[in-house]
Amino acid sequence: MNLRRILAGGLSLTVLTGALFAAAAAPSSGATATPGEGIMCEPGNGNYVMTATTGRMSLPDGNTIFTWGYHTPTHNFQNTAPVLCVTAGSPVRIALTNNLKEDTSLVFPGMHDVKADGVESAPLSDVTGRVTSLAPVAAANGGTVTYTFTPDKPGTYIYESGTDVNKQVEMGLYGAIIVYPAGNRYQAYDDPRTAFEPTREYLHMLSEVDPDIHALIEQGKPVDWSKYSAKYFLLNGRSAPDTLSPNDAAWLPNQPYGSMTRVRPQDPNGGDTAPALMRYINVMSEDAAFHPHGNTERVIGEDGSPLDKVGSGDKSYGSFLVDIGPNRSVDALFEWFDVEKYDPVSNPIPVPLSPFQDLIVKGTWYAMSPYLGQQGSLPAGVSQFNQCGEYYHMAHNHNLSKATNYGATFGGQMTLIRIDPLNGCPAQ
Amino acid sequence: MTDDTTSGINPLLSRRNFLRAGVLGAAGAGVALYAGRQASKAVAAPGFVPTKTDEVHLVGTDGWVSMPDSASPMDPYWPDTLAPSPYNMYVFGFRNVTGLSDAQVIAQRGLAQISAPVLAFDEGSEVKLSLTNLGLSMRPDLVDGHTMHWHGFNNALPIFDGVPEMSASVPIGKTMVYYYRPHDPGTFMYHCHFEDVEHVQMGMTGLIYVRPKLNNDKTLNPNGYRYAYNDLSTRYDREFPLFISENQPESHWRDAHIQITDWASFNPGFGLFNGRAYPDTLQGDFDPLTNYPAGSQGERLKYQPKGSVITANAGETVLLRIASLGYVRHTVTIDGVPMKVVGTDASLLKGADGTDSSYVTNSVDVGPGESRDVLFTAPAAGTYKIYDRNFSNLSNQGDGGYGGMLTELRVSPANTLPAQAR
Repeated sequence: MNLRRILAGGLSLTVLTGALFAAAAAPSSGATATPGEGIMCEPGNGNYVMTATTGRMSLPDGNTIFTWGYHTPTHNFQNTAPVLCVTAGSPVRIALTNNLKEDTSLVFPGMHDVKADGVESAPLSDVTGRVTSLAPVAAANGGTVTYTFTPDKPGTYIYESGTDVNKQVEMGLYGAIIVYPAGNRYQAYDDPRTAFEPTREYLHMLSEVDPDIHALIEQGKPVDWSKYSAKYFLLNGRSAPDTLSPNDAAWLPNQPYGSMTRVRPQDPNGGDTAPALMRYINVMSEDAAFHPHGNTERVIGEDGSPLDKVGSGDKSYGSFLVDIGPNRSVDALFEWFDVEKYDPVSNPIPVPLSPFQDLIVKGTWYAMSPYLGQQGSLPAGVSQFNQCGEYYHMAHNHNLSKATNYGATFGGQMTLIRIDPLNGCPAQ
Repeated sequence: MTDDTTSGINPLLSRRNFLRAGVLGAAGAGVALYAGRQASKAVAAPGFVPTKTDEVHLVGTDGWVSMPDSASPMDPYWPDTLAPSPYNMYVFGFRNVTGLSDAQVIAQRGLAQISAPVLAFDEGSEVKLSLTNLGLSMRPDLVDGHTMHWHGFNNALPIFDGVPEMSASVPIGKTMVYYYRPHDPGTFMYHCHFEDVEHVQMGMTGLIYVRPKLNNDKTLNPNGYRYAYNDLSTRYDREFPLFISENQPESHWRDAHIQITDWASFNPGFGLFNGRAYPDTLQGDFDPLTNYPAGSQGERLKYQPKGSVITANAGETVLLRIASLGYVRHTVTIDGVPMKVVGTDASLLKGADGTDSSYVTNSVDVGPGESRDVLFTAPAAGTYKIYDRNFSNLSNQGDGGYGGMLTELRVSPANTLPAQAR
């Protein structure tokens, strides 16, 4: 145990007294300019009362899936679990009640000196020494356990079940912990180069569901995990196009988190804002290959570690495909530039544009004009969501099997990047 | 696949009208800058003047290709009994028909190729890319559109990004012109984004190179050397594509036989380099427009026209442009040859402060939709194997022998091969 761990452990002990909670500098839920977008922090200021229970999620193709999840008193059930926004150096306390019919627990990969009911959280073993749980459990049918720790490094982390992990994480027992630098709520790390625009912070948590296995577990039947075959692929607990609905959409009562991202072009004549921050988490058992269209994101950190260490120089790298390994996290910055500044009068696009009758126009998000901030007239029979000529780009898993809902395209782990005109969108 | 009988089908091609378009919007003089994303400001200089204009005409259609006959049959999916000899697998694909007459263009319906033609452009040029949808000869019941998605193009306009829901797609019998000004050098990809999981799996995937301005900079580069990026550390003597895809024969059979596929389940049968499985990777390049003798390799492989043998003289620097539009991860190795990864996803591995993040490895990791720019020094004359160490891609449908993603580096003694044509 190094000095840092000892120090962190000391802080955790203080937590147990509960004395620090009132003073803990917990982050606010963010200066979200547009309600319903961006990271939505769970209220709690580092102190959370959570229940593990069963519920249902809905999928865009009409299917309803039996699933498990964590929730606080703000919801009856939810998937994905509450997003916990905490501050480096400030103690965190999670009191878990287990309403499942089997034991469960929580683990916090990347956190140090985690305590369960005041003693070190360590794996449990049976009499033969074989591991039975990665952490002390809350017993089935109403058991409780309280975990405490003090995060020491800013970054994007996971919390998830440590018991029968293959099953319980598949069933939905996972969530995100965002650790902010103390005193720098709008930096990803303790480094001003990782500053982000306060209203442009997004979480993309990728997971997947095998509906047959969920049904077998609901029915209490045995599961052959070698037959595992995911059919639904989730981004923040929803599959596209539900991913585009706002946070807390009333029609998705158990899936509160949207994932539409939204930026404005940077203004090369000054007035640039800080970049948007994307926090990616993958809780699948294989890599996620997440591709934001029309953008090269700059990867600045992985698993709660900035790529630019003190004295290391700029080790961040550009990537048009963000690769997130199983149970890992990646933080990336991105900006969008209106490079060519096309204008229908002063700077037209230099090729003739096909009239609608020569195209297939689904038009769902297209403004019917290629110019940012301009809208064209809709062809007959086409309806659309475009508000003010804003651009939309797709962002999706490029393992395209996972950009589907049970094989149907334009689904799964997919969302949109919305680019508003430089002067905003008057319709809003 | 789309069964939408309400979409209009007009057999008239309007390609000429589009190609006739001149340079309308790029007036005025200006200074070309090395505006790259190194400074995160990929912004065109005011009064941008392209160095040149590239006009490319692609068609999208279906067709038949040949996986190695030695592979284990996968009854009934492969070989496909509908395939005309000497072919055995149904595909969708692009073809480059630049310069062909309208009649010749229409005649390419049903003659798709995989991988798609490699497209190479200079940074700072302008690209007018016409895409014509020739329809699917095997599936007259389908009215699928096609699109051009330049995978990785920064700050793209949605209309030219090729996602049907964010813009438009090209119906059968029509042509749309896509316009690009590439400002960032590196290795990109392109693919059709219409019903992407199907059209990409069926073969509408290929590479785009953007070559840096440094190649043409007489001050910094008086000898006219070639570089992967605007950085003198990325000089090379020869460049080769190593484009990765995988195919699942059952899905291809289902498309040919009017069946529905569950695209959420993917289990590749053949891993491909440049659209071919070993040992076909060792065959030379062929031309889809040439009539090769019956029974020749040329006849069998002309719709998979690109070979994958890498050739160099000992001591030369080789740029491998590795990219994947498959759905699983790959690990590319050259036996005994260290490789230096200088770029990932068309981004030079160098920080804004000049910190060099390039790395030397014997295992280049390439995931779905990723690209790697890899330099290596050709070792002593001889033959070296290049292959995927994800060994599930190193056989043809698990037939027990070597297949799939395997090819060769063939090194000649120093100064024997002529310089690579530009």
